[in-house]
Amino acid sequence: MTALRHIFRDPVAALGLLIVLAAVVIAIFAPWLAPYPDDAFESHLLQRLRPPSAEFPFGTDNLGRDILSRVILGTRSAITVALSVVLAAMAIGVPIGLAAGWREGWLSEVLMRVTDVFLAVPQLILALALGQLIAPGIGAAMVALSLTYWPFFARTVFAETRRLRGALFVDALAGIGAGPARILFLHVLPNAAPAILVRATIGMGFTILTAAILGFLGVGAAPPSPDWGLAVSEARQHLPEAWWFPTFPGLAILLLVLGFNLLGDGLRDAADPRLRRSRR
Amino acid sequence: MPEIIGAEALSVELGAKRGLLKNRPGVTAVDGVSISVNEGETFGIVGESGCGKTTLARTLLGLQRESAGRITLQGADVSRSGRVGREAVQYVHQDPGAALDPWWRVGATLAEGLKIHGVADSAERQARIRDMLAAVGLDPALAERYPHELSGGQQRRVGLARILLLRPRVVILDEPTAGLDLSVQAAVLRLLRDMREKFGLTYLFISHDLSVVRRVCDRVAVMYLGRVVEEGSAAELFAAPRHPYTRALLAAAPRLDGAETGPALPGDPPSLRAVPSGCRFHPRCGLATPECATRDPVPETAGPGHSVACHRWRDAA
Repeated sequence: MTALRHIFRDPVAALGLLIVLAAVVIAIFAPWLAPYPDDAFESHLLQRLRPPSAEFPFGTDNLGRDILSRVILGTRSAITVALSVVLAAMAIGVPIGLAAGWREGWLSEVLMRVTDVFLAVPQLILALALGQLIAPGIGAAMVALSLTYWPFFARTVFAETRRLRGALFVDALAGIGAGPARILFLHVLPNAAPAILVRATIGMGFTILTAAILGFLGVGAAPPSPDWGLAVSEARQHLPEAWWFPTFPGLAILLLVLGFNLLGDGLRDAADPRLRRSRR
Repeated sequence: MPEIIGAEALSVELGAKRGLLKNRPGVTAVDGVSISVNEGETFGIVGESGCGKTTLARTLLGLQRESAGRITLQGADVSRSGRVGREAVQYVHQDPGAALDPWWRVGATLAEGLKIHGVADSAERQARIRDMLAAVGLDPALAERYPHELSGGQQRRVGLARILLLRPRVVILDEPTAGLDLSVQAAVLRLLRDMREKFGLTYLFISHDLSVVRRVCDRVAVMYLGRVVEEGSAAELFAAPRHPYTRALLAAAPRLDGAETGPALPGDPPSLRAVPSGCRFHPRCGLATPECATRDPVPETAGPGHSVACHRWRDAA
């Protein structure tokens, strides 16, 4: 609650929160908000490439589908993909970071070197390779993104655990007889939570961007699903005449990524425990 | 009075690292220390920063493994057992504010210790916390606060309450008055005395503040570079210090009455990585003879219950 209040006091972060909340609402209610919900998969070749008008505010695409509807419908897949990738990356990265940070020794060394190796894997190339290996599609892209994003969580949690391990309150807990599991999960993890949250928020923006790139390259979402990156890619052949075709999906990507990044920065400031107050 | 906790020829090595390719030797922070603390007394350990006071305390507590020697607690040998079996010894940190998890309310932190020590009933935990907060002179409503919302004195009381809830027999107090202004200091010392009487505690009082040690301790051990150089009752040690180091420490203490303080000790305490030969204090000692540089002094009896490890203590008097 206090973190929220802090964010509202910071106009830039509040804007980020607003964008993200709006996107989430749009994603949930997409089929009811889109003027032509059937245009996700249905084509109307007679009205192809119409410029923006009262009937089609964002124009229509090469198959005569309403771009506004497709942008709205694409929000859901963008957020679902980003959320699953970030959660999967967290599920791998956080335990590894905790384990490596808690004790020094060969286990910690091995874990962190493995993390470094994964950090060095280029995301797009892994996604392309996995796409060839499995069937190309959004599933392969998600696996590739999760496999390349978890090291960021591992490093963040590792650094936090190392810092907290030396904290006096951890020593005091050991002094009153608390076991390592209690200290790690009830004390180190909550104290590392702000850093993890900030990393996750920024990771959401990053994943949306990368997923769009993969869609653009043809290894992400497959037609006819209403994916933003895919739409930009399909629009290439119709440039520069149909300028509206790539512009609106592109703007959607930009806005949502910006929203997550602004929110992430705001959370970083808000999550400082020294600014917390109990309710009195 | 019987001994409650004691150490015999206790040595602690810090920072040693056995790697695959390189073995890094550590430093011996505590080197052959023997102390014996009687039930119900307040035993002071004084010395400069880095002399091994805190390491000794952490080893008695079991957070630091000893490399040699024996620790006995209530008559039982607890050497090399770590924290297991030493629930009767608890430790109050030097900075109790930093010893509290900043994300946990004070009440939750206090309850956690009870939970760890097997008090499963939530209502009983709450009742004991309320009583203990009242006993250390705090408003029980403080349990709802976060640590950073408390004052330094309140944090210290919370730190003490947290330990006393576990019903220890021996409490190790690490610099309990450091960083407090004088009025709060007096209040904390009074509280410590009351708690000792109320709960029948034994204190191990670590401090470099000699005026405080003189006021509250029954017996005092003076440490220098990991060794105990002088030990005796507080009254005798402060009235007639034998070891040149103790004398220098006492002389260097600032005095409020404006009287001239003695000459300060020359130089810094030497590093544990380069311990002087013979008597460890000889490079800074005004009475040092060539013998002091070669032969290690053994503790000699200088009076009833008073021992001193110095070749020349008779000349110092």
